[in-house]
This record gives sequence, C-alpha cells and structure tokens, in this order.
Amino acid sequence: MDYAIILIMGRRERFQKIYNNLPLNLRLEVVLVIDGEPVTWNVIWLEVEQRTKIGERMLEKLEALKII
Amino acid sequence: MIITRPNHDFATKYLFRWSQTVITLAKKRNILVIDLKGKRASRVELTKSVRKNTADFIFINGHGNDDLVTGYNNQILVQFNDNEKLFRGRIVYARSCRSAAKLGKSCVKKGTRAYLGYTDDFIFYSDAASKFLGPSNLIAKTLLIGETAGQADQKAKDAYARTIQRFENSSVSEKDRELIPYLQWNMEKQVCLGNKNARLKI
Amino acid sequence: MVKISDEEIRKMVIARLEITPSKRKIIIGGAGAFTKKELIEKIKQHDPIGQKIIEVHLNYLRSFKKQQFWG
Repeated sequence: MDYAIILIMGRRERFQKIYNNLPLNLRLEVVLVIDGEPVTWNVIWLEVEQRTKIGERMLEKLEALKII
Repeated sequence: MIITRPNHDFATKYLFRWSQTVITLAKKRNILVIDLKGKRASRVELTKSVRKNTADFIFINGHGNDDLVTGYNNQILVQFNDNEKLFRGRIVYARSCRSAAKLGKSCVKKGTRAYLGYTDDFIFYSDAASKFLGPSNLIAKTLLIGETAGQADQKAKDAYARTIQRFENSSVSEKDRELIPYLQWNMEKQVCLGNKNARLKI
Repeated sequence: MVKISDEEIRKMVIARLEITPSKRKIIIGGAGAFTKKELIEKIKQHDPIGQKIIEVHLNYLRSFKKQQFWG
C-alpha cells in the first residue's frame, strides 16, 4: 500500500514538473484520450490537482505512454 | 560542388526550387557548380561528374531509404554495398529520407569524409517550406562558407530550435504551432557522420 | 502497469490533428503530400504513413520529459 502511494506521488510530481515548464500555448493541446474523450494538459492538471480518481487514471496512462 | 536536383514530383519540385539559393551562394564564392538538374539527376551523370571533377562537396536532393538515395524518377544513384566509394574523399549532404541510417554509415566506412543526412523521413509543410528547407539549406551554405561539417550540422539544428522556441510562445497562431512536432522530428533525425571537423577545400 | 491500446493512441493523435487547419499539405518523404483529412484516414486504416505521423507526435510529447525547451 505504501509503495503504491509512493508510485502515485512519483507520477504526480513528474507530471507537475513537466506541466509547470510547459509553454502556455502547448497546455491547450490534446495529450490523452480517456473514456473515449480527448483531454488536454490543462484538463489533466485540474483532475490531478483535485486528486480525483480519474486524475490518477490519467497519470497512469501518461506514464504508460512514456510522456511522464 | 556537385548537386543533384530532380524535379519529377511534388516533393522534389520543392527541393529543386529551394536548392537554387545554395547554388547562388556557391557561384558567388567562385565555387564551380555542376548542376545535375531534372533528368540529369541520374546515376550515369552523377558518376561521370564525380569521376571527372575534384568537387569535394556533393549535395544530393531527392528521395531515399535506409540504404539508398535516388534521383530523377526515383532512379537509384548510390546504394549500400554497391557504389558508396563514389563518395570517397568528399563531404556529402543527402537531403533524402533515411539514408544516414545505413548508407551514410557505410559511405563513411568506405572513405566519405563526412555524411550529413537523416536517419528517418524528412517531413515538411508545403505552405511553410521556408521553416523546414531554410534550416536544411543552412547545412550546405555553412559548408560553402568554409565551416566544418559539425558546424553545419549544429547551425541547422540551432535554426530549427529558434523556430520551435518562437512558435512555443503564447502569441503564435495555431497555424504556426502545428509545425512544432515536425520541426522537432527533422531536427532530431538530422545527423553528421564521419569527421565532424571536415571542411571544404576552398 | 496500465496498458494503452493502439486504438487509444490513434484517437489521441487524430484529436490532435483535427484541430489543425484543414487545407494544408504535409509532404512525407517519398510517400507524397497529404491533407489533414487524408492523414486521419491513413491513421484509421493503420497505414504506414499514419503510423509515421503517430510516431512524430509521440516523439514530440515524450520530449517534454527531457525538459528540452528551446529557450
């Protein structure tokens, strides 16, 4: 359980680091499809910030795509 | 300088036109230009020109693959394990897809001083050709002003990088921003094989 | 580890292409010149050109991890 928490925090931090350094214009670009819906960096940030379940899933997918 | 400039399809017509400024610079610097344009971009003409001339820069425009570069109507000009020795002692810039992946390496092993080219497809937008072919032309132009192959490679990459940076800021249109992934691709797939300190004997 | 299907990747790249101006032509090596509509079709058909475009976009998205900003 603790290991799972560390892994999830690692993804959040990696996402945050990339997002913080992303030029403003690029944050409007689609980077993922979740439940059939395209989402942008900004949408992911909103979900990750609020620590939602869907945000966690988004981070998992970004990691699987090797984007974070 | 020996330059091949086929113009048989949409893509090669762009390379044909964009190469003109490189030819103009060469002539301005009193460098002899052997312009194998159109149908003259053939294996026979290239071989004849290389054997008859001491031109130490060969600029190939056209299509290609991992192991070959082509000329007019996609006729093979130089191919892996075939006639790479044609480029021996010269600096080559192949503005062709993928040829640096295999052919370029073999050319260098067989005596090409430096081989500048691409390890994957070269991609560009027809209505924004300057953003792609401008940096690409810099490779040839940098060599023609006497700088090294490594410097030519770096100058072109710096030009791509400057354009990418400009297009990343918030005031740029969607039209420009959409070019970024392709500019980055060409920049990353561009390589300089062989002696990076090689320069033209001018 | 979560798996991403090829279909999800295709949908993502199609979504990225769909917001681009429609009449522009992209020249991909010796393969020819393609409009946005044609590229989207090629992606849907699992065509090698479609695959190349997916590769270009994934390469670009993965580059942010390297913090390579040209500034």
